[in-house]
Amino acid sequence: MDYKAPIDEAQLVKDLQDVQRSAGAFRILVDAYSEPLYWQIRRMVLNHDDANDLLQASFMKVWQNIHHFRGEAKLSTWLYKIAVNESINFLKKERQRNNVSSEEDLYLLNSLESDPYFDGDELQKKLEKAILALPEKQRLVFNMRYYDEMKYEEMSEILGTSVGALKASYHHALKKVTAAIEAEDY
Amino acid sequence: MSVERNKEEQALDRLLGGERQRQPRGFTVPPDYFATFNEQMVERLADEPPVERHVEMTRWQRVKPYVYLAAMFCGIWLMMNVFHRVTGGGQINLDNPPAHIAQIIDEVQPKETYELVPSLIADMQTEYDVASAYDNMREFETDFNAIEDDVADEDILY
Repeated sequence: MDYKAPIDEAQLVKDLQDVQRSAGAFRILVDAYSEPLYWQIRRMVLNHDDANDLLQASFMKVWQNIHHFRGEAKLSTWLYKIAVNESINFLKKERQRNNVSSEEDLYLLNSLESDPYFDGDELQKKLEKAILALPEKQRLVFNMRYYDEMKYEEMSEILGTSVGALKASYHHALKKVTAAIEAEDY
Repeated sequence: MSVERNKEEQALDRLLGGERQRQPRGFTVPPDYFATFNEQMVERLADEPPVERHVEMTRWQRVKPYVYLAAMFCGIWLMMNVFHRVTGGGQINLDNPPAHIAQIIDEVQPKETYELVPSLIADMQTEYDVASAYDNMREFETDFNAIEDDVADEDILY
């Protein structure tokens, strides 16, 4: 993840938990983490409006619960966790709304094609279709590793899965996506 | 720090155009979206009810309730001790048999006695003697020339 400036996470957390300084610290937090968190969410839900809503909801959760944050994990890890949970909960509700029983979210392709903030070509649509066909957790692992190059240890804290399982999951995800792109009639 | 791409990743990169993708291609955002996002959040926070924030307590603030509780119990103990001494305690306790407690209570004499002042006794005797000599206030007036009209016909009740 690239940030605009190095952030002293420990100091930022202290300021966020201080009644006098929390407002200013929150602005710094939003400024530093909004973009990486947005893309994390957008890659899962595809649609810009949904991603925007979920990003705001994630930051609201941070604001409401920062006094519970004990600093046992990194602040960025905690933020990622919140964003991932918001995305997962959103997708669960969408599956219910669309009467989808499995974790393949191919129905999201419909909203992608009608999204004014998507102008990808056929190859990109093929890639998104291949990623959407992955089970939810594998999709998360693929996005975090392939796009963000996140370390397996950090992924393990966010997803609550062992490093070994994550490596295996990513390996399978890569193979499936590559095979789907290579297939002529996908 | 960029992580070195493995062979499988490199193969996928080649399929997708050769360059490593940091974000999915084709996904765009409205103009100045991230620049204005901060203001969006500030506006949204203004509509939210205030959140209870953690307030740092000093060591004294944490200990204070227990100190006050201990002081209260000390005060109660002191009061009981003083009351016990004032009532001549030290002999009465829960181990004593009831008969013994009753004997101790009987032995406690009142500290004050009421004695009538001798002059007051004399006054009372005088009053009795005078009252018994008259039947009504009219007779009393005749002898002492001192009566109020409104009580003149009153009988002296004795």
